[in-house]
Amino acid sequence: MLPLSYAVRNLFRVPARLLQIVLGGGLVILLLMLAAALSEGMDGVLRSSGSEKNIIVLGTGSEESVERSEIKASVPSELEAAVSGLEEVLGRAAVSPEIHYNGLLTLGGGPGDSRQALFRGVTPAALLVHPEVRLVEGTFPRAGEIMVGRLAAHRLGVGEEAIKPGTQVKVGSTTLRISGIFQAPGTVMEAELWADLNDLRAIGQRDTISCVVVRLDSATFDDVEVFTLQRLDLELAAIRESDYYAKLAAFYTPLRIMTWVTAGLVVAGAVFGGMNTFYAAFASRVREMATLQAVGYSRKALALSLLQESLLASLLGSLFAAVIALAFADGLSVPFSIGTFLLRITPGILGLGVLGGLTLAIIGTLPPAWTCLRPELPAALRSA
Amino acid sequence: MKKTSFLSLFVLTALSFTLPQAMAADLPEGILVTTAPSGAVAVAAARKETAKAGTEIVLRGRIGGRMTSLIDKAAIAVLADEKAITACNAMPGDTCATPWDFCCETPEKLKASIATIQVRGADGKIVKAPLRGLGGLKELSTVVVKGTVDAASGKDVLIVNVTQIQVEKK
Repeated sequence: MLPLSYAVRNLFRVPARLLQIVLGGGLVILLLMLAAALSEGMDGVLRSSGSEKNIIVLGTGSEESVERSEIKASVPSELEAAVSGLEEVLGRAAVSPEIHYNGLLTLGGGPGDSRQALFRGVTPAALLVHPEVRLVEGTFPRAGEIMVGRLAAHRLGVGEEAIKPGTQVKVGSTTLRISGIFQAPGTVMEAELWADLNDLRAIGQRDTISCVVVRLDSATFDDVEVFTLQRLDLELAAIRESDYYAKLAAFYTPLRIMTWVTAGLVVAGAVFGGMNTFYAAFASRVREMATLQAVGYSRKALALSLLQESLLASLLGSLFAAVIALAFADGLSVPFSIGTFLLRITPGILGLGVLGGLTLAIIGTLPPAWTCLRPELPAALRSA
Repeated sequence: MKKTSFLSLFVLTALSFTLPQAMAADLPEGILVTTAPSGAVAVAAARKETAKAGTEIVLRGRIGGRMTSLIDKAAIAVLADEKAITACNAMPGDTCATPWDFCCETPEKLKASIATIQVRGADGKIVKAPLRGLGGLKELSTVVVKGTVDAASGKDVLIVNVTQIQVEKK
């Protein structure tokens, strides 16, 4: 077998070609990593946003989108009275009436400085059903106030200074003061803006709410569903919060498939590009390989050495891609229609990059190596 | 071949007897009666008066008024007035596949002509077994039910805790 140092020396023999392989392969591996991070991030945020213990009670026919739902404002109290076994905190039932509203937020710059934002009208009971929400600065919103999620600035495309506590913003024609900042790690709520339920009802000129979120203790989903079925007048439907977000995740599946198809096409292009480079590189080394065969090295040992070269180049490419991904993509917030998620370059994604790089190297090297080593020894020794 | 057909027939027949009985076993004993309770009023008429919770009531109507009028998970059904509203299949030329949802009627008229009937167990909770199949009960079956007005009833909704159901044979 040829020593590894032979492969390393050969690798650096033509620096321009090495750079081309490392950069080209690295960009493809980077794309692969980004596609995986995008898919994982979107799926993760939707999966984490729904709790198995939470049930959303909303209007029939609006099970696909809570923003479209309208139910009577009296539903929370009627539900609380009818269903026993809901979670209680300090004697208060975990029943949260909510309004989900997608509207315009006008920042300090005036009417031209408006952004589409996701608002949630809440009462303090929201903290009982969404325990992942934590205030990191300021206070929970009272009348005339609004609280912003940690990622809301990214979602709105503004700097964090634009929506810091104490700032005045406008929702419709109503001026609200930002009272605080909250976090809800890994959920869509982090990109939302939470205002007082009554304020949002006045802003939306509605006397209804969007939904009620209840948190189960000893009660079951069936208990809540039975309430919705017997109250024909209220026209309600119940859905587990986890199922609601799972349906939304399914809605985004085509987008994820498109991301993977695009990445797949680029990878396929890279494989052919790589093959082309290696064909050119190995074609000029036919005589060199034949000489090595003549002095006693087997074709298998030579093929392994060629593979070592491309694997080393590919690993350098993977390293380059990993450094770029960790430096520039890790923690990047990506807004989508119902929230924002963070790209996370996890060890799993780095591993996928390395695996992708190795696969690229093997597929891209073996056919050119076969072409280089296939000629009979006398013919190969005489080749130009 | 003959043996297989006979076996399939036997299994199907056995299932048709055992399934309704298994479901009915979860319902309180004596809920299904053969003689209609006396003094039945139409659903629409009962809806006009806001009955007090606990008041005894006898209703006559047809199963229907919603797309899902017989709930699979619980002993709950929707009862529609026989005369105040018309099922789609009673309208000439109508080919509606779900005539029991009375979708040809206006929502307001429909809302005022339906009631919820439900069966509570000894523990006071709604029995988690379907009413479907009880005495051949299905959508558009005509029934007379006897029970008490549930505490959740009001001017917008009538909910009856049923103790007796008589299903009319056609």
